[in-house]
Amino acid sequence: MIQIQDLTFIYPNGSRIFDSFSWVVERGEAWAVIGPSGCGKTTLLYLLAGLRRPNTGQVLVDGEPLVRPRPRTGLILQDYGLLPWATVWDNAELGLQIRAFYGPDGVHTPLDEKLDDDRARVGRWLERLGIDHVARQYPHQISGGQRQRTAIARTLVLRPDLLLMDEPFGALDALTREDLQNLTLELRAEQHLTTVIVTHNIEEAVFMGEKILVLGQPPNRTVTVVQNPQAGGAGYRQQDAFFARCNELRELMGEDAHEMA
Amino acid sequence: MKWRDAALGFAATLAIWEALSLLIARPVFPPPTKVLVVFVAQITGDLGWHLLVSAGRVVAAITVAVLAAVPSGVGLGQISALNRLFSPLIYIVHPIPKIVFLPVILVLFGSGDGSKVFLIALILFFQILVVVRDEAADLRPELILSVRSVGAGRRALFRYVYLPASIPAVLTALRVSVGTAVAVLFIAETYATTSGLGYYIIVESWGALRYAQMYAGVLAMSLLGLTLYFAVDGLDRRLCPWRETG
Repeated sequence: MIQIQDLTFIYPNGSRIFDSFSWVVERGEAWAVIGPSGCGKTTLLYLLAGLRRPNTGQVLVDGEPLVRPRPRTGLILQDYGLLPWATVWDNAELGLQIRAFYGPDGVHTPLDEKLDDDRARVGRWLERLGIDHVARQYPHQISGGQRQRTAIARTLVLRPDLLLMDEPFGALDALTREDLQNLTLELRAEQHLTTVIVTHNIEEAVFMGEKILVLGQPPNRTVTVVQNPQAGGAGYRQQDAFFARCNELRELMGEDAHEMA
Repeated sequence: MKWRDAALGFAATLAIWEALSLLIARPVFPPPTKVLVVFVAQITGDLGWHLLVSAGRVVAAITVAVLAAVPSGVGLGQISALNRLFSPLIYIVHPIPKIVFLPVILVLFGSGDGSKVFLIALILFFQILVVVRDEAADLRPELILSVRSVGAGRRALFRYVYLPASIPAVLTALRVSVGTAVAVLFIAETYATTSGLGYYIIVESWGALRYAQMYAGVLAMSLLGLTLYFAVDGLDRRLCPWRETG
């Protein structure tokens, strides 16, 4: 699904975030990416989304080198991603409107896109995500959880096969966060999504990621992966295996911090 | 402000005016009753035509200013290199009272509608430019990235993000500058022209010592300013419903 080959990324200010970095995500996998702030995890996600270009090397998604955002990739950010002047409905419909604006050109819109059942699709997703009753409200009038559900609706309306998330639930209270983590896993199975979730939260990484990519202080050269096949299982959050895995991850990240110091 | 408040304010103005005219008791300060008679008689004729001419010039100037200032403001707000280049220039030019360029503009654009529209558009342009620029610069990068991630290129970003984000900025700028625009129009219409409320008030009325008619012109000018102000308010309510809620 995703192949990163010999990727180097340097910010204009000279800080080298990735150096000959290679990484592969297979179709259907659930990945979590974790690391301290400044490690480049958000940069990695933007590279996967086609919003940043590598200095050297390339990112292939579905075998195609990525040069711009790919229509079948969905992106969900922490907050601020919704248009403040548009209602929940209009926000959810935004991607479809943009596709209709360009028409099926194969660049902004998939060539096989059919835009006929738009409104029904938006309505179905708002209902599925339990936000149809706030469809006429504006983002500042609804809760943080409802805002993230709106962002999810906007993405899923576009029928993605790859879902990228950057600290999607970081601004939410603990219960809402767990609720949305469960929902995301449900939707993942239901829509056959490949998912990459970026987080700084160890528990979130262990609950959401069947495989966990651990990034350290940049530049990142090698890939450190923690296998975590139990992720997402019912009741996993309460099991000893879950806590053991969290500790494993904590130690791994701590070691890295020591090495750097 | 509500229409009821406006009507109340209007009635109070008339009462004070009536009292003042009794006190001053000179032809240069006629009572409102006399003025209203002239106003009603002339608004369907000469005065009405001048009012339409003036209104047309202001609306044309607003249109020109908005069309020029919104894309420029968005460009400056989103491309910081461009802003670094132009912001010192704007900083210096913005506070210059543009009315002082009237003689130059009259020479360059002639004495017709062009010079008036250009002068007012120039004033509005800078007001709108600065507010739209700041608004566009304040847009969160996360918002732009999210919208790009659902497929928006440059054109769609303009249509779905920059344009709607600019509307409240434009209306705010218009609300503060529409009064100035009308005032400047008045001055501009008193030179080398034969139409517009400025001409009607200064040349046709004041110059001929027709004081009641002069006040009818003042009334028409106030009406123009007030209508524009209400129009901006109405547009705000219609185009920016999210600003009222919550």
